[in-house]
Amino acid sequence: MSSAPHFTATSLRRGAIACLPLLPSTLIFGAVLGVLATQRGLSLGELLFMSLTVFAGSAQFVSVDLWRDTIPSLTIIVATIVINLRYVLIGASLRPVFRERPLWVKICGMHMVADENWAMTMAQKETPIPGFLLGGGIFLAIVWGTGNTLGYLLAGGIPDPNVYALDFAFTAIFAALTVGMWKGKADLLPWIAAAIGSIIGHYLLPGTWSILAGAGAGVLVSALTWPGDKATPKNDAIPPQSELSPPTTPYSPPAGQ
Amino acid sequence: MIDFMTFTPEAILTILGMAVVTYGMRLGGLLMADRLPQSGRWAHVLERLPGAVLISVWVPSALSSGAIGIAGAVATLVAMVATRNLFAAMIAGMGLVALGRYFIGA
Repeated sequence: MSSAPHFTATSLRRGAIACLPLLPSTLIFGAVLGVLATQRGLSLGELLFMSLTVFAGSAQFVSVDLWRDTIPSLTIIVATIVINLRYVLIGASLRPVFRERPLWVKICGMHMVADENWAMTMAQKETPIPGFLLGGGIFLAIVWGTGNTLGYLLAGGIPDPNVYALDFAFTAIFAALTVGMWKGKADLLPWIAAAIGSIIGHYLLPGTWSILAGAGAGVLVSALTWPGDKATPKNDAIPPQSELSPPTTPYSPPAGQ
Repeated sequence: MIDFMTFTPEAILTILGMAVVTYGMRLGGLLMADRLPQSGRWAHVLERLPGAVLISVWVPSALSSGAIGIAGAVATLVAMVATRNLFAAMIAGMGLVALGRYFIGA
Protein backbone atom coordinates (compact mmCIF):
# COMPACT_ATOMS: atom_id res chain seq x y z
CA MET A 1 0.00 0.00 0.00
CA SER A 2 2.68 2.46 1.01
CA SER A 3 4.65 1.55 -2.10
CA ALA A 4 1.72 2.45 -4.36
CA PRO A 5 2.33 5.50 -6.57
CA HIS A 6 0.93 8.83 -5.36
CA PHE A 7 0.42 10.97 -8.44
CA THR A 8 0.56 9.19 -11.79
CA ALA A 9 -0.28 10.80 -15.13
CA THR A 10 -3.07 8.26 -15.57
CA SER A 11 -4.66 9.05 -12.21
CA LEU A 12 -4.43 12.80 -12.80
CA ARG A 13 -6.12 12.38 -16.18
CA ARG A 14 -8.82 10.09 -14.81
CA GLY A 15 -9.56 12.54 -12.01
CA ALA A 16 -9.84 15.39 -14.49
CA ILE A 17 -12.13 13.41 -16.80
CA ALA A 18 -14.37 12.49 -13.86
CA CYS A 19 -14.99 16.20 -13.24
CA LEU A 20 -15.75 16.94 -16.91
CA PRO A 21 -19.58 17.05 -16.44
CA LEU A 22 -19.03 20.02 -14.11
CA LEU A 23 -17.26 22.08 -16.78
CA PRO A 24 -20.20 24.27 -17.97
CA SER A 25 -21.43 25.14 -14.48
CA THR A 26 -17.96 25.78 -13.08
CA LEU A 27 -17.12 28.00 -16.05
CA ILE A 28 -20.32 30.04 -15.76
CA PHE A 29 -20.09 30.47 -12.00
CA GLY A 30 -16.44 31.41 -12.37
CA ALA A 31 -17.56 34.06 -14.84
CA VAL A 32 -20.29 35.33 -12.48
CA LEU A 33 -17.61 35.74 -9.82
CA GLY A 34 -15.45 37.59 -12.34
CA VAL A 35 -18.29 40.05 -13.03
CA LEU A 36 -18.85 40.54 -9.30
CA ALA A 37 -15.12 41.24 -8.85
CA THR A 38 -15.23 44.10 -11.38
CA GLN A 39 -18.02 45.69 -9.33
CA ARG A 40 -16.17 45.31 -6.02
CA GLY A 41 -12.82 46.67 -7.14
CA LEU A 42 -10.61 43.59 -7.20
CA SER A 43 -8.07 43.43 -9.99
CA LEU A 44 -8.15 40.38 -12.24
CA GLY A 45 -4.75 39.42 -10.88
CA GLU A 46 -6.03 39.53 -7.32
CA LEU A 47 -9.08 37.47 -8.24
CA LEU A 48 -6.99 34.78 -9.96
CA PHE A 49 -4.58 34.79 -7.03
CA MET A 50 -7.56 34.16 -4.76
CA SER A 51 -8.96 31.43 -7.00
CA LEU A 52 -5.67 29.52 -6.98
CA THR A 53 -4.75 29.98 -3.31
CA VAL A 54 -8.18 29.76 -1.64
CA PHE A 55 -9.91 27.60 -4.27
CA ALA A 56 -13.31 27.43 -2.59
CA GLY A 57 -16.28 28.72 -4.59
CA SER A 58 -18.85 29.67 -1.99
CA ALA A 59 -16.32 31.34 0.33
CA GLN A 60 -14.97 33.31 -2.62
CA PHE A 61 -18.44 34.53 -3.57
CA VAL A 62 -19.13 35.79 -0.07
CA SER A 63 -15.66 37.34 0.26
CA VAL A 64 -15.77 39.16 -3.07
CA ASP A 65 -19.26 40.37 -2.20
CA LEU A 66 -17.92 41.79 1.09
CA TRP A 67 -14.93 43.40 -0.67
CA ARG A 68 -14.73 47.23 -0.55
CA ASP A 69 -12.08 49.88 -1.23
CA THR A 70 -11.15 49.57 2.44
CA ILE A 71 -11.05 45.79 2.67
CA PRO A 72 -12.86 44.38 5.73
CA SER A 73 -10.11 41.77 6.10
CA LEU A 74 -11.14 40.32 9.44
CA THR A 75 -14.80 39.97 8.46
CA ILE A 76 -13.78 38.26 5.22
CA ILE A 77 -11.40 35.83 6.93
CA VAL A 78 -13.93 34.96 9.64
CA ALA A 79 -16.62 34.40 6.98
CA THR A 80 -14.17 32.18 5.09
CA ILE A 81 -13.55 30.09 8.21
CA VAL A 82 -17.26 29.62 8.85
CA ILE A 83 -18.12 28.75 5.25
CA ASN A 84 -15.14 26.42 4.88
CA LEU A 85 -15.41 24.63 8.25
CA ARG A 86 -16.80 21.66 6.34
CA TYR A 87 -13.31 21.12 4.92
CA VAL A 88 -12.24 19.80 8.31
CA LEU A 89 -14.76 16.99 7.80
CA ILE A 90 -13.96 16.63 4.12
CA GLY A 91 -10.26 16.39 4.98
CA ALA A 92 -10.99 13.80 7.66
CA SER A 93 -13.05 11.71 5.28
CA LEU A 94 -10.11 11.56 2.83
CA ARG A 95 -8.10 9.39 5.23
CA PRO A 96 -8.48 6.22 3.10
CA VAL A 97 -7.08 8.01 0.03
CA PHE A 98 -3.95 9.10 1.92
CA ARG A 99 -3.58 6.04 4.14
CA GLU A 100 0.06 5.14 4.82
CA ARG A 101 1.34 7.82 2.50
CA PRO A 102 4.14 10.24 3.43
CA LEU A 103 3.41 13.68 4.83
CA TRP A 104 4.56 15.50 1.70
CA VAL A 105 1.89 13.71 -0.33
CA LYS A 106 -0.77 14.89 2.12
CA ILE A 107 0.63 18.43 2.05
CA CYS A 108 0.64 18.52 -1.76
CA GLY A 109 -2.60 16.61 -2.23
CA MET A 110 -4.83 18.51 0.17
CA HIS A 111 -4.67 21.98 -1.35
CA MET A 112 -6.77 21.52 -4.48
CA VAL A 113 -9.68 19.88 -2.68
CA ALA A 114 -13.06 21.31 -3.66
CA ASP A 115 -16.45 19.80 -2.92
CA GLU A 116 -16.69 18.51 -6.49
CA ASN A 117 -13.45 16.55 -6.90
CA TRP A 118 -13.72 15.34 -3.29
CA ALA A 119 -17.24 13.95 -3.90
CA MET A 120 -16.10 12.38 -7.18
CA THR A 121 -13.17 10.74 -5.39
CA MET A 122 -15.23 9.38 -2.49
CA ALA A 123 -17.86 7.93 -4.85
CA GLN A 124 -15.35 5.74 -6.73
CA LYS A 125 -15.87 2.03 -6.15
CA GLU A 126 -12.22 1.48 -5.35
CA THR A 127 -10.40 4.08 -3.28
CA PRO A 128 -8.38 6.10 -5.80
CA ILE A 129 -4.80 7.24 -5.28
CA PRO A 130 -4.25 10.95 -4.42
CA GLY A 131 -3.53 11.73 -8.08
CA PHE A 132 -7.20 11.21 -8.93
CA LEU A 133 -8.21 13.84 -6.38
CA LEU A 134 -5.48 16.23 -7.51
CA GLY A 135 -6.27 15.75 -11.21
CA GLY A 136 -9.87 16.77 -10.61
CA GLY A 137 -8.70 19.74 -8.55
CA ILE A 138 -6.28 21.00 -11.20
CA PHE A 139 -8.95 20.62 -13.88
CA LEU A 140 -11.53 22.53 -11.83
CA ALA A 141 -8.98 25.24 -10.97
CA ILE A 142 -8.19 25.80 -14.66
CA VAL A 143 -11.89 25.97 -15.57
CA TRP A 144 -12.64 28.18 -12.55
CA GLY A 145 -9.81 30.61 -13.38
CA THR A 146 -10.80 30.67 -17.06
CA GLY A 147 -14.36 31.50 -16.04
CA ASN A 148 -13.11 34.27 -13.73
CA THR A 149 -11.10 35.77 -16.57
CA LEU A 150 -13.96 35.60 -19.09
CA GLY A 151 -16.38 37.18 -16.64
CA TYR A 152 -13.91 39.88 -15.70
CA LEU A 153 -13.14 40.77 -19.32
CA LEU A 154 -16.77 40.69 -20.46
CA ALA A 155 -17.96 42.37 -17.23
CA GLY A 156 -21.52 41.35 -17.95
CA GLY A 157 -23.28 39.65 -20.82
CA ILE A 158 -22.86 36.36 -19.00
CA PRO A 159 -25.87 34.07 -19.43
CA ASP A 160 -27.94 33.71 -16.28
CA PRO A 161 -26.94 30.29 -14.88
CA ASN A 162 -30.44 29.78 -13.49
CA VAL A 163 -32.06 29.77 -16.94
CA TYR A 164 -30.33 26.56 -18.00
CA ALA A 165 -30.45 25.18 -14.45
CA LEU A 166 -26.65 25.34 -14.43
CA ASP A 167 -26.92 26.32 -10.77
CA PHE A 168 -28.63 22.98 -10.20
CA ALA A 169 -25.74 20.99 -11.70
CA PHE A 170 -23.89 20.94 -8.38
CA THR A 171 -26.98 19.82 -6.46
CA ALA A 172 -27.67 17.12 -9.05
CA ILE A 173 -24.09 15.82 -9.16
CA PHE A 174 -23.87 15.67 -5.37
CA ALA A 175 -27.24 13.91 -5.07
CA ALA A 176 -26.24 11.36 -7.73
CA LEU A 177 -22.85 10.75 -6.13
CA THR A 178 -24.55 10.10 -2.80
CA VAL A 179 -26.23 7.08 -4.37
CA GLY A 180 -22.80 5.79 -5.37
CA MET A 181 -21.53 6.16 -1.80
CA TRP A 182 -24.10 3.78 -0.37
CA LYS A 183 -22.23 0.97 1.39
CA GLY A 184 -25.10 -0.80 3.11
CA LYS A 185 -27.77 -0.38 5.72
CA ALA A 186 -25.27 0.99 8.26
CA ASP A 187 -25.50 4.18 6.19
CA LEU A 188 -29.27 4.49 6.45
CA LEU A 189 -29.78 6.09 9.88
CA PRO A 190 -26.73 8.41 9.70
CA TRP A 191 -27.85 9.59 6.26
CA ILE A 192 -31.41 10.23 7.40
CA ALA A 193 -30.01 12.12 10.39
CA ALA A 194 -27.79 14.19 8.08
CA ALA A 195 -30.73 15.04 5.85
CA ILE A 196 -32.95 16.02 8.78
CA GLY A 197 -30.14 17.96 10.47
CA SER A 198 -29.35 19.91 7.32
CA ILE A 199 -33.04 20.65 6.67
CA ILE A 200 -33.48 21.97 10.20
CA GLY A 201 -30.24 23.92 9.83
CA HIS A 202 -31.41 25.33 6.51
CA TYR A 203 -34.50 26.84 8.09
CA LEU A 204 -33.04 27.88 11.45
CA LEU A 205 -29.40 28.76 10.85
CA PRO A 206 -27.72 31.37 8.64
CA GLY A 207 -25.46 30.66 5.69
CA THR A 208 -23.70 27.35 5.41
CA TRP A 209 -24.22 26.27 9.02
CA SER A 210 -26.78 23.79 7.68
CA ILE A 211 -23.89 21.70 6.30
CA LEU A 212 -22.36 21.45 9.75
CA ALA A 213 -25.73 20.77 11.38
CA GLY A 214 -26.39 17.90 8.97
CA ALA A 215 -22.89 16.47 9.15
CA GLY A 216 -22.94 16.77 12.94
CA ALA A 217 -26.22 14.90 13.13
CA GLY A 218 -24.82 12.22 10.82
CA VAL A 219 -21.68 11.85 12.92
CA LEU A 220 -23.67 11.65 16.14
CA VAL A 221 -26.06 9.00 14.84
CA SER A 222 -23.29 6.93 13.25
CA ALA A 223 -21.38 7.00 16.55
CA LEU A 224 -24.53 5.89 18.40
CA THR A 225 -25.38 3.16 15.87
CA TRP A 226 -21.89 1.65 15.89
CA PRO A 227 -22.59 -2.08 16.11
CA GLY A 228 -19.53 -2.58 18.30
CA ASP A 229 -18.52 -6.05 19.33
CA LYS A 230 -21.90 -7.31 18.18
CA ALA A 231 -20.56 -6.85 14.64
CA THR A 232 -18.82 -10.22 14.93
CA PRO A 233 -21.77 -12.38 15.98
CA LYS A 234 -21.58 -15.92 17.30
CA ASN A 235 -17.85 -15.65 17.65
CA ASP A 236 -17.69 -18.42 20.21
CA ALA A 237 -19.81 -20.72 18.03
CA ILE A 238 -17.09 -20.84 15.39
CA PRO A 239 -14.12 -23.02 16.31
CA PRO A 240 -10.94 -20.96 16.18
CA GLN A 241 -9.46 -22.61 13.13
CA SER A 242 -9.69 -19.87 10.53
CA GLU A 243 -6.76 -18.93 8.35
CA LEU A 244 -5.85 -16.39 10.97
CA SER A 245 -5.05 -18.93 13.66
CA PRO A 246 -1.59 -20.47 13.40
CA PRO A 247 -1.43 -24.12 12.42
CA THR A 248 -1.12 -26.32 15.45
CA THR A 249 1.62 -28.43 13.88
CA PRO A 250 3.90 -26.15 11.87
CA TYR A 251 6.05 -29.04 10.84
CA SER A 252 5.05 -32.67 10.74
CA PRO A 253 7.93 -35.08 10.52
CA PRO A 254 7.68 -37.38 7.51
CA ALA A 255 5.86 -40.56 8.37
CA GLY A 256 7.71 -43.81 8.73
CA GLN A 257 10.97 -42.32 9.84
CA MET B 1 -9.90 49.41 -19.02
CA ILE B 2 -8.88 46.06 -17.60
CA ASP B 3 -7.30 46.17 -14.19
CA PHE B 4 -5.06 43.13 -14.30
CA MET B 5 -1.83 43.81 -12.48
CA THR B 6 -2.88 45.84 -9.45
CA PHE B 7 -1.89 44.00 -6.30
CA THR B 8 -2.44 46.02 -3.13
CA PRO B 9 -0.73 44.73 0.03
CA GLU B 10 -4.09 44.75 1.85
CA ALA B 11 -5.67 42.56 -0.82
CA ILE B 12 -2.75 40.13 -0.87
CA LEU B 13 -2.75 39.79 2.93
CA THR B 14 -6.52 39.27 3.05
CA ILE B 15 -6.39 36.62 0.33
CA LEU B 16 -3.43 34.90 1.99
CA GLY B 17 -5.36 34.90 5.26
CA MET B 18 -8.32 33.24 3.52
CA ALA B 19 -5.97 30.75 1.88
CA VAL B 20 -4.15 29.85 5.09
CA VAL B 21 -7.32 29.19 7.10
CA THR B 22 -8.90 27.18 4.27
CA TYR B 23 -5.83 25.05 3.59
CA GLY B 24 -5.28 24.66 7.31
CA MET B 25 -8.75 23.18 7.73
CA ARG B 26 -8.29 20.86 4.72
CA LEU B 27 -4.96 19.48 5.88
CA GLY B 28 -5.84 19.71 9.58
CA GLY B 29 -8.94 17.56 9.08
CA LEU B 30 -6.88 14.85 7.38
CA LEU B 31 -4.10 14.90 9.96
CA MET B 32 -6.62 14.77 12.81
CA ALA B 33 -8.35 11.79 11.21
CA ASP B 34 -4.95 10.08 10.89
CA ARG B 35 -4.69 10.16 14.66
CA LEU B 36 -8.03 8.46 15.14
CA PRO B 37 -8.05 4.66 15.55
CA GLN B 38 -8.22 2.59 12.35
CA SER B 39 -11.00 0.44 13.72
CA GLY B 40 -13.89 0.61 16.18
CA ARG B 41 -16.36 3.40 16.70
CA TRP B 42 -14.30 6.21 15.14
CA ALA B 43 -13.54 4.24 12.00
CA HIS B 44 -17.24 3.46 11.70
CA VAL B 45 -18.06 7.18 12.00
CA LEU B 46 -15.38 8.17 9.46
CA GLU B 47 -16.81 5.70 6.95
CA ARG B 48 -20.24 7.33 7.25
CA LEU B 49 -18.79 10.86 7.10
CA PRO B 50 -18.54 11.43 3.32
CA GLY B 51 -22.20 10.55 2.75
CA ALA B 52 -23.34 12.67 5.70
CA VAL B 53 -21.35 15.71 4.52
CA LEU B 54 -22.44 15.30 0.91
CA ILE B 55 -26.12 15.01 1.83
CA SER B 56 -25.80 18.09 4.02
CA VAL B 57 -24.35 19.99 1.07
CA TRP B 58 -27.04 19.23 -1.50
CA VAL B 59 -30.25 18.87 0.54
CA PRO B 60 -30.27 22.54 1.65
CA SER B 61 -29.38 23.73 -1.84
CA ALA B 62 -32.25 21.70 -3.31
CA LEU B 63 -34.56 23.33 -0.74
CA SER B 64 -33.21 26.77 -1.73
CA SER B 65 -34.41 26.14 -5.28
CA GLY B 66 -37.97 25.66 -4.02
CA ALA B 67 -40.45 22.98 -5.04
CA ILE B 68 -38.79 22.47 -8.43
CA GLY B 69 -35.46 22.00 -6.67
CA ILE B 70 -36.90 19.22 -4.52
CA ALA B 71 -38.49 17.61 -7.58
CA GLY B 72 -35.18 17.91 -9.44
CA ALA B 73 -33.28 16.25 -6.60
CA VAL B 74 -35.80 13.39 -6.50
CA ALA B 75 -35.55 12.99 -10.28
CA THR B 76 -31.75 12.88 -10.01
CA LEU B 77 -31.83 10.22 -7.28
CA VAL B 78 -34.36 8.06 -9.17
CA ALA B 79 -32.40 8.35 -12.41
CA MET B 80 -29.14 7.47 -10.64
CA VAL B 81 -30.61 4.42 -8.93
CA ALA B 82 -32.18 3.31 -12.23
CA THR B 83 -29.27 3.93 -14.59
CA ARG B 84 -26.18 4.12 -12.33
CA ASN B 85 -25.04 6.72 -14.83
CA LEU B 86 -23.85 10.00 -13.36
CA PHE B 87 -24.36 12.03 -16.51
CA ALA B 88 -27.87 10.68 -17.11
CA ALA B 89 -28.84 11.44 -13.52
CA MET B 90 -27.46 14.96 -13.77
CA ILE B 91 -29.31 15.64 -17.03
CA ALA B 92 -32.56 14.28 -15.54
CA GLY B 93 -32.36 16.65 -12.56
CA MET B 94 -31.14 19.69 -14.46
CA GLY B 95 -33.59 19.08 -17.31
CA LEU B 96 -36.55 18.94 -14.96
CA VAL B 97 -35.47 22.12 -13.16
CA ALA B 98 -34.85 23.98 -16.44
CA LEU B 99 -38.25 22.91 -17.84
CA GLY B 100 -40.01 23.71 -14.58
CA ARG B 101 -38.54 27.19 -14.48
CA TYR B 102 -39.32 27.81 -18.14
CA PHE B 103 -42.94 26.61 -18.13
CA ILE B 104 -44.15 27.21 -14.59
CA GLY B 105 -41.60 29.74 -13.47
CA ALA B 106 -41.20 27.65 -10.32
